[in-house]
Amino acid sequence: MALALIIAVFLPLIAAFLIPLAGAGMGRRVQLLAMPFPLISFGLILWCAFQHESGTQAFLEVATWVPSLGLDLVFLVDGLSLFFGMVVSGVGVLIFWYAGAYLDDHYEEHNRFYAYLLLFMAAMLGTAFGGNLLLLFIFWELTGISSFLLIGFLHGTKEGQTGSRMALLTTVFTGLVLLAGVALLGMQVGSWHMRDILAADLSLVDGGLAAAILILFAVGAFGKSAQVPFHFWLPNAMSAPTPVSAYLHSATMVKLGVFLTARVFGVFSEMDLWAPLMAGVGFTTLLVGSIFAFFSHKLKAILAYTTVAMLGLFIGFYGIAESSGARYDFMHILNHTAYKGCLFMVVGIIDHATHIKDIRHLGGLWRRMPLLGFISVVAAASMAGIPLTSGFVSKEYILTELYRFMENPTGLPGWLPLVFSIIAFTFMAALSIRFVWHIFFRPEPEGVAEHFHHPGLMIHLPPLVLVVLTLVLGIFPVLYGPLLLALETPGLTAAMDPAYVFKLWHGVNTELITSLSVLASAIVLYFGANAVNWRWEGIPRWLLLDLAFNKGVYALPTGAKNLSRFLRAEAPLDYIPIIAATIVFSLGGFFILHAEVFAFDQMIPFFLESFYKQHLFIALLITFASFGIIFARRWTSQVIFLSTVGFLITVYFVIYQAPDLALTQILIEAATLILILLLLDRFPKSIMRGERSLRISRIRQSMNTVVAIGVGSVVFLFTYAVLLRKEMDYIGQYFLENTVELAKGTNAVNTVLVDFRGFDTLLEIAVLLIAILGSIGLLMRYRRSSEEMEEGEFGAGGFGIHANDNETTK
Amino acid sequence: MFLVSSLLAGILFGVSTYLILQGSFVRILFGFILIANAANLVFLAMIGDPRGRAAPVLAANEGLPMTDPLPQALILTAIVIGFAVSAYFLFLLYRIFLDWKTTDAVDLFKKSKPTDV
Repeated sequence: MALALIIAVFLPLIAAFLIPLAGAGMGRRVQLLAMPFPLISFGLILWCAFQHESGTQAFLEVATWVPSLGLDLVFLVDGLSLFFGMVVSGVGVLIFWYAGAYLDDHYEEHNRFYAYLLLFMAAMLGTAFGGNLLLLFIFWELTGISSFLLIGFLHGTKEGQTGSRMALLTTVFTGLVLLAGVALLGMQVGSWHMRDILAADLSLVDGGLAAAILILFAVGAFGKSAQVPFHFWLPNAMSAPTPVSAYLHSATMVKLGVFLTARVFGVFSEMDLWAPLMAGVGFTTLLVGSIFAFFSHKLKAILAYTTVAMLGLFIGFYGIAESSGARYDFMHILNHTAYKGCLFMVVGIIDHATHIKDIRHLGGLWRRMPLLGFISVVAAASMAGIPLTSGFVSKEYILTELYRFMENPTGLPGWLPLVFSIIAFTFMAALSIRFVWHIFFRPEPEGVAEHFHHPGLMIHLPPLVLVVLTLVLGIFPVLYGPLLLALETPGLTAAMDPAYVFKLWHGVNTELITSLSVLASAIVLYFGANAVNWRWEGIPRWLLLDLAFNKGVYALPTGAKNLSRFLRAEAPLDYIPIIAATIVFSLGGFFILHAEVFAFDQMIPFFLESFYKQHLFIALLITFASFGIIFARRWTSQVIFLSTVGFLITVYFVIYQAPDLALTQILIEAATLILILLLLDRFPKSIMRGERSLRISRIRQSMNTVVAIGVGSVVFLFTYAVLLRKEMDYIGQYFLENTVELAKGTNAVNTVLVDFRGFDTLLEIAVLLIAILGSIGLLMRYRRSSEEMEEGEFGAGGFGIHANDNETTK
Repeated sequence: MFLVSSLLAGILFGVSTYLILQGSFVRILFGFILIANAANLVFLAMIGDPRGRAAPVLAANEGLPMTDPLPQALILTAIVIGFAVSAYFLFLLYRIFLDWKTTDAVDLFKKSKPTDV
């Protein structure tokens, strides 16, 4: 079984990298090349499902990957992973098939498209079967990246750009939040292996920390599944080609949040926060999504919001489940996958055939495409929950759970999920009626006939398969029994009675009456909306939050620019005194408050006691030389004074018994001097003259003097205070004692540099390298003007660049 | 000894701060080179009183009390890095001059565009 799963997950991954090469120049026929891979994966996972013993969890340890991080290649096989694996690969087969017909010769780079699609499928399967929390997270992020590539497949369009960026930013941000949760949970458990994670007992962990981990996981799931307040990205992601929308944004990727909720259900579900958080957010999303869907006009937006709503329902469904397990959760997910994937494909076909994306401009298509009409009617009926479709069966069982929760609520008011759901179901049923009637049965408006061309039969088959599934499961719900029994997952699904038979007809009970009244009020709602002719301009933009998101994205650089402008970052002469003065005031204030550490009264006796005339002499010389830099008028004299200071410091080093420093200082000082002379000599004399006080007002000059004196005093006090602390324990003693033994060198300074702190030296060399590269870049990128060219090879700007080289770069 | 070392560090910091606050990039450069040296002196002072101590070279001074090698190693690194940064600064200054034909910081920030590129 391990081998089968390795092939199922990694074969598409490998193929994703080979398809672009193998399929170059094949055009749309690449589909035939890519088609076998989802088929193989689906077949293998199906085989695994038959091998799998229901109600157990198998961990297939394939290989160790990064043992130091506890990251191993482990597959977790249980009902949940098999269910998602089958959904992903099964829908994958249909999508690859559909894409072959959808992506015609109007599209370019088919090989790239199928490569992304395969990459995505592999990432999804990896997430589903990930038996190590870190492994799961890696695949989780990979789905985000591949979905970014797919949404942005039409990267020439503005919608493609904003939509893919929004999806990436949202899922990556929430992914990072999830990573924090993954790391915290793994650290608490002490392992990232799913066996340990699922067995974790969070009641042993500090309550606040456990709640934090749950919230981090929940944010990850909400982001991926487009829950409030992250619901804005999914409708914007619809700019992708329809096969992508159908695959990623209805059937699989957005269900990852549901998957994660289910995966960690056993870990968190006993926490008090679980029900209010998951059910609260989930059912709110259900309500918001269905209302948004009802008020939308764009076909894909309608479906996107109903998807958002249904995802909310699934997450909320886990939220209200008893901690012993959720009932029949896979039934609802499967039902949604079937009809929603189908509806997306229908919308794609309509777009393909008529080039119309807005429901207000459609009508009368039944006459032109009866097969598509039949498919849509069944799928929409399933969405509305009309008997004989799987949607009806599913909705009955959901209502049962909602009524059960109302009787013994935990965490949040018991009526809330039920009321929100009933309102949402009403809206969804009403828009299902609109969907079918407005597209297929009302009189054809103008403009439909203009671009109409009949879609082929091939493109109808994938949605037809899903519709047949919907009908079969709707008419013979007994089939759910063996399916759900085989996929029983320990810790997630409530124990099922094997003898239980799923029935279509439960007699006249509360659920049926609720269902019928939902349908009745949906019809009223539909005709009510018809009466005002659906006359509204979609949903108010501010409710969508996507404008706010975009503003946020743009506000970041703008805000940074304004901030730096406010801080006058372009005028260092203005802000450096402020920084310096701040340091002076804060440190100086601290010193004044703690004046006793300086022992000022003992300063003079202490000075006399430790008097050292060579030291004082050199210090005086350095002081004079440094003042020389300020008072010298010409830059040549300034350079001389600067170098004097540098060379005098060499002597200072000698006094301090530091021969290595003295040597280095001499070399560096000489190099600096040569460099300065070489370069500054190229500046014209006019600029070098009068360098002393260049156009700075007298007030500012005296202010600078004050700041400089302040900085000097603070540094003096700081150094003095540090030196007065006599109880110092020199780390250096350790180096002195161990230099021979550990580093096999007698010069302690050298061994510290190359041995004890070798990495520091390595980085120091890196700094040198960066400086060299930067300097070369500064010189090489300069393009000389024609006057400078006339000055000859060594004229201005000639350093390092010869005139001839310059010719070629032009 | 401590007093003189601290005073010297303070003076050098003051002088280099003054230079850095000037309007000319050449002086800012000089101030920058000087402040790197001044910072080294602060570190060096941490060695304490070097009298009666020998350089931390065991081969030559086995058995004698020695000065602390750690500040020396830190300063050695700092000198080299200071040089690298000053050299880069110098080339940057040269480039600024080539592009804008000025080394006056006030003047430079008034010009929005290089005259020559």
